[in-house]
Amino acid sequence: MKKIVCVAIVGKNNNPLFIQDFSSGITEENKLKLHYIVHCSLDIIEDKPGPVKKNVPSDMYLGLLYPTEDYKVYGYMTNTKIKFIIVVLDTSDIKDSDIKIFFKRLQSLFINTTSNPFYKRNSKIESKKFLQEVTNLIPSL
Amino acid sequence: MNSNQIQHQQLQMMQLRDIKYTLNSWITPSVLVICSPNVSKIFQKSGNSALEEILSQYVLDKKKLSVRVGESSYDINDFKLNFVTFKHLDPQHYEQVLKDNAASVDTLATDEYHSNFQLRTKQDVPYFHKICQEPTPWFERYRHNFIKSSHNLELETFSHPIACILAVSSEDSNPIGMLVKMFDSSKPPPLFQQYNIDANIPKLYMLVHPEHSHAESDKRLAEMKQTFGSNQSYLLRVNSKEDYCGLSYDQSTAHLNPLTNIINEIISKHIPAYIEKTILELNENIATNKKSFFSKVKVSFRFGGNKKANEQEVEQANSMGSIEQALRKVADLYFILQDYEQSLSNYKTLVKEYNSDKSPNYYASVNEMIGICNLLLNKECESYFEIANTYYQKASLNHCLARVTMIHGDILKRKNNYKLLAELYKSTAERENLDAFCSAILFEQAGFSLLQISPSPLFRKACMRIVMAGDKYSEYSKQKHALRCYSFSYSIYEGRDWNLIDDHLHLSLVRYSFFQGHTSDAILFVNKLLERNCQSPEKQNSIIREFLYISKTYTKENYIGELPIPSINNESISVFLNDYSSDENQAVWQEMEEAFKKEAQIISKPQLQGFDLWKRDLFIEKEKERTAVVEEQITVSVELKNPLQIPLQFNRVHLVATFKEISDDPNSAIEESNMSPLDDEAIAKMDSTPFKVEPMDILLGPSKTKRITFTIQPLKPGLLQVKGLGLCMCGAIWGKREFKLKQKRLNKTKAQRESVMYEPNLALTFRVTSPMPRLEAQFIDFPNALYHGELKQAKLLLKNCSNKMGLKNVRVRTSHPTSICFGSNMDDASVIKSLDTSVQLNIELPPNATVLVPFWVKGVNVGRHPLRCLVYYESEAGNTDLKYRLARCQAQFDVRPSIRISSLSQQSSTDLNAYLLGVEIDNPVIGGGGESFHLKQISSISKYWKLEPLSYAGDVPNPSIVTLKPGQFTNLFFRIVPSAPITKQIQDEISISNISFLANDPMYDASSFPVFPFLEYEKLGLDLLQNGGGNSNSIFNSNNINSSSSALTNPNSTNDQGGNGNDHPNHIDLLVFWESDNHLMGVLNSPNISFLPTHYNDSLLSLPWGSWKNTTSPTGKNHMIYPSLKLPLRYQIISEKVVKHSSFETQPLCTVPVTLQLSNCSFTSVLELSIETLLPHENIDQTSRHTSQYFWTGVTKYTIKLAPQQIVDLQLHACFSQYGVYNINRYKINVTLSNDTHKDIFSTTQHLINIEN
Repeated sequence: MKKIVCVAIVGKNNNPLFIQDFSSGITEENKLKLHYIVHCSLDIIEDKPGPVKKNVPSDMYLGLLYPTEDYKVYGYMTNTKIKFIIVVLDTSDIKDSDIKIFFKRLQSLFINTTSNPFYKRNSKIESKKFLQEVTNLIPSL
Repeated sequence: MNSNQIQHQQLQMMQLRDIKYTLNSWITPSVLVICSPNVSKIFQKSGNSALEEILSQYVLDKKKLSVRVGESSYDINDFKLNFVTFKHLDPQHYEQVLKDNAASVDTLATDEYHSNFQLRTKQDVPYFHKICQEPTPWFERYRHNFIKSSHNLELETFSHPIACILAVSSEDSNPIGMLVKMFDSSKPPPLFQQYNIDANIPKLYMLVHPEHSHAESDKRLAEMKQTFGSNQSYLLRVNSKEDYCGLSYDQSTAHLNPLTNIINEIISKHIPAYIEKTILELNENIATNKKSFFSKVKVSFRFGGNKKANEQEVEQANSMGSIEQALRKVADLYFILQDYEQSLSNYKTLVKEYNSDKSPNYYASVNEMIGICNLLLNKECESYFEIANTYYQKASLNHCLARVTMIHGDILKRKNNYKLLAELYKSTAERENLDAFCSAILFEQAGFSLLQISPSPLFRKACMRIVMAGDKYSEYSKQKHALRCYSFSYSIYEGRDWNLIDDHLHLSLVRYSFFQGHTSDAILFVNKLLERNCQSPEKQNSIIREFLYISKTYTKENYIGELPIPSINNESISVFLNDYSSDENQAVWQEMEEAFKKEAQIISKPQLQGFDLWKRDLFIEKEKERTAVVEEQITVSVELKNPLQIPLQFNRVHLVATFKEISDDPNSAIEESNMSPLDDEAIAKMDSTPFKVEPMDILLGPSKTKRITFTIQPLKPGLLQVKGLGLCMCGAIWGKREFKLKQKRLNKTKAQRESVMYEPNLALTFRVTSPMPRLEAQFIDFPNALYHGELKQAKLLLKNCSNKMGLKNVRVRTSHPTSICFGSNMDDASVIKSLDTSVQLNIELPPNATVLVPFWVKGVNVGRHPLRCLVYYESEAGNTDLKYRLARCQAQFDVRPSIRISSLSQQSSTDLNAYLLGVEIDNPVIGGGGESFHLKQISSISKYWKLEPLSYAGDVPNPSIVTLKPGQFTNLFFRIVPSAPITKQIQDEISISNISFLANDPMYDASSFPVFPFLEYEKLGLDLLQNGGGNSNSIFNSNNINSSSSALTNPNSTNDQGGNGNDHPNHIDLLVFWESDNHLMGVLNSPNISFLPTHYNDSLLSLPWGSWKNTTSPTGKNHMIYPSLKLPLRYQIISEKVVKHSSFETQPLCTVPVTLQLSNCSFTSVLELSIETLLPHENIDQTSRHTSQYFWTGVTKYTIKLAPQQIVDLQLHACFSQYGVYNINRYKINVTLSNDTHKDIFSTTQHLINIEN
């Protein structure tokens, strides 16, 4: 069973750039709930102090944001205020270090995709390749 | 509402806020009321009441209860009782209670928490708290009602009746037997058995006696007293004719009322006695059973986990249940008596008896009570509530859970622990099977608790909770509540791309806006919902279905106003007033239309200069609405798009418009529109309306765009404004789509700049005017293809379509004015003087008349040409609103290349007044299928010059030189000579010389129609091209074709040095007539061939002419550079060629007289010259190193003035000292070009003199 149920990237203005659920057979209602959960986690991210020192990558990891009954939400924020959020099944026990590595990989995927000259900054990522790469990345956690 | 009532309400609100007050209401003991069917009927009849309701009125006042239990006595000042029936006790009834609770707060529900508040960022939260301190005023009332009515007969004894009132009617046949049967303590009703309710409660027997009844009430009462005891028996006389049987509670008359007595006796005697007795009994019971009880518990522990033992235990539990229940009952009774200490100690004992795993419900309930006791004693209580919460969850007792949550929540709120509070509310609200309304209320509270968290409120989470509340409210079909929740939360997601959430909210908002009658909001949200178009087709289908269903159900007459789809491309809207179809080259038409407008002097723009420019805004003419004619269709073309992924059907799509009669009195103007559904009835009535529309059905495929043309026909003069489209969506719901035309922002005045004002866009407003004739124009026999230069005749058919009115003043304007010449011969020709004027046709057309206008077409430029022709006409009757109308017609034609003409002109070396003209003609088409052209005639048109053949004399020696097969060239040479002796007088005649190549053929007349007008048009076109189409004034002056003296008449062109290139008379127009094998005929014009004197040694004066250059241009785009007449001077040396000289020895010098002939070619300017011979050592120019072999004698310098056209001979003398051949070129002519510019001209031609012996 996949541990990650949802991966989201939220832009500087708290607008979603990418949001995708990964559990099979998810109902429309649960999908909606995941979106709400991702949105709510922004409350916590906003509340956390940003990276204290610049260019310290470890500071970007925000840790566990939002333990709900079914899911755990982890967050990661870049210096440019791009937020990476993953929603994980509560039952799974994951080490912080693993999550950090996952986030770093996700960030590099994001950087590669958004470096495309045709990508408009702060717009939705519609690249199929990016989706595929993220999907491939999911089992790594 | 008077002030008392307000005070009362405020007091109530204050009370409701106090959880302790609520708890007191909850534990109010109840009295069971059992009525015989007859009694129920009596009360039912009079004011639809019931006995228990009437009884309740009597306990609203503060009642005093005094109880003595053992040594302690209790006085309760505000004792309350509930009067209940079996129905109320039955847990089945609880559903209804919940519904009533939900309905009880309906009046408090609001549409918005706070009007016009939008929560978008964190910063909005404190402001919200400031402006809206109590967003949910209904919560406390609901909590009160919920807790008050939440009873569990199994777990708690508060709702167990502590007394019973039995009522029979005196009309019942056997009242005593009935009373006995109604409640038998030894055989209690099943409910009592099921929940172990004490049936040994005091009973009061009541005989209800209707006043009109003849039954013997006194006798019955006596019997009752005998059977049940006098203390328990009462007679109640009722007046069934009055409301509440005349028993309604009134404080002033209460002491006379029999019920007061009954109530007082219950409270003062029966209940205290019962409580005393019960507590004593139960205490005793507990004390005796304690020992055995503990042993039993031990047994059960020993066998724990064993299935058999479990069954055993259930039995034991049932038998000993009474003991635990006894304990519970005692505790509850103490609680009722408000002895919380006593009560608490009992509960604490009891809690030890329960096993939290085996009976979580009891365990939870007792813990809750411990918590409540502690709360009322102001001690720490939260932990107990937490335990209660946990075990209620385990036992799935959701309503008890909700109760304990509310109580606990109140404590947390007092402690400002909002984080925990939100979590608590949310976890309870999430329970399945919890009443949806209660769940909604709790979610909503959780949301507002999250907003209260400071310093950083979790506003997003709060909104999520409020949305969840909305979902629950909608589940309970509380639409007002639901709409409020959704619209509050919507602002935080709005415009932030959370698609899935947006869809969810939009859909809900659409639904509930409709339900609440906010149709426009609903439409707005439907628009937003469908705008993004990111749903699956199935989803969209269901959205549309739902939209149609809801709107059909909730709107009047199936008309909902503005529809969300289809989307209209507002920029694509185009209007056609006449019946011509659309054209991509609209600009070409428009240009011609504008020109007519100018000609008809419709626009009169003032010419502004200087300081007036500051005020130019005032002079800009206000844009006027267009004029339409009654009974003529107006066509509006629009692009419609289906934004969705599903096909959509629209029926009876038609234009929606308003019509206003124009009258002087604005109040009397009637305005009519067709905004209502266009059903069959409306269609039938359409003939009597001021305008008529034509409906059509449209099917738009997924994401398809269609351009659709609609028509509207005005039937009355007035002001017609097209507003948009009316349509029936999917055959179900009528609505409209308005056109939103782009409007110009106004910023002329200060008021306009300060506010946002727009200029009205009048593109869809029409002034409908009285009937006008309508003309139709059509080309007849228009050639599809022409050779370059070919002439063909065609006709223009003009038809007056009106059968009432005549038309006049017909004018024509074409897109190719140089290619068309109206008329058939010289007499009826309509020739224009300037290319930007229109052709006036001398035509008047009576109604229904038709006329054919002949015209000539000439292939002027090679290529494919769409010829557009605009016909202008006016009504004979005249019309002030519409001075003229226009008709369009068009045709296409190809012009294929025929022959090309190049020309060369040079000054003659033998005659000072003659020039050479070479004409090279070629047929450039290479390859098969090319046409052969036979040159027929060459003509020249000029004022002063004529043409003479040079290559041959008389006839062409061989006709083959004038026949051009594809790819062939021919060269012909001509001499240009003055046509008449040159005088200083200005000639008005032009000289035309025609040279036919075949002597026997008839000659073409180059000055005849249409050859000459076409030449003139071509020249006008070239001028236009050269002047860049600029100042039309100058064109007019220089091209006045009637006085064909072009430049010479122009008084400005005195200076030959500069100015326009064709300011000199030395040019001719050449016309070459050809015929082809197919007997096609054409003329190629080479206008303005110049021939000028050249002075090669000066780059300024030698111009690149004299070489071959194309003079016919197939494309018409070649810029012909006219050489200017830089120096109108020609000269030549005349002398003997051979001079015999006898001997140089005898006569060392041979002097030869030489004549230098000088000619001023100009017609206007005077030349100032000084002629000087060169000294022997002087060089002719810088480069030549030769020294002279001869020298000059006699006069060597002349200074003369040459008048225009003057020829002067100067005598010079050359001296030779040897035999030989000499080039007499050693002289220079100094010309004064202007005041201080002089030019030296050296001879470049050689004049040889042979000195012979």
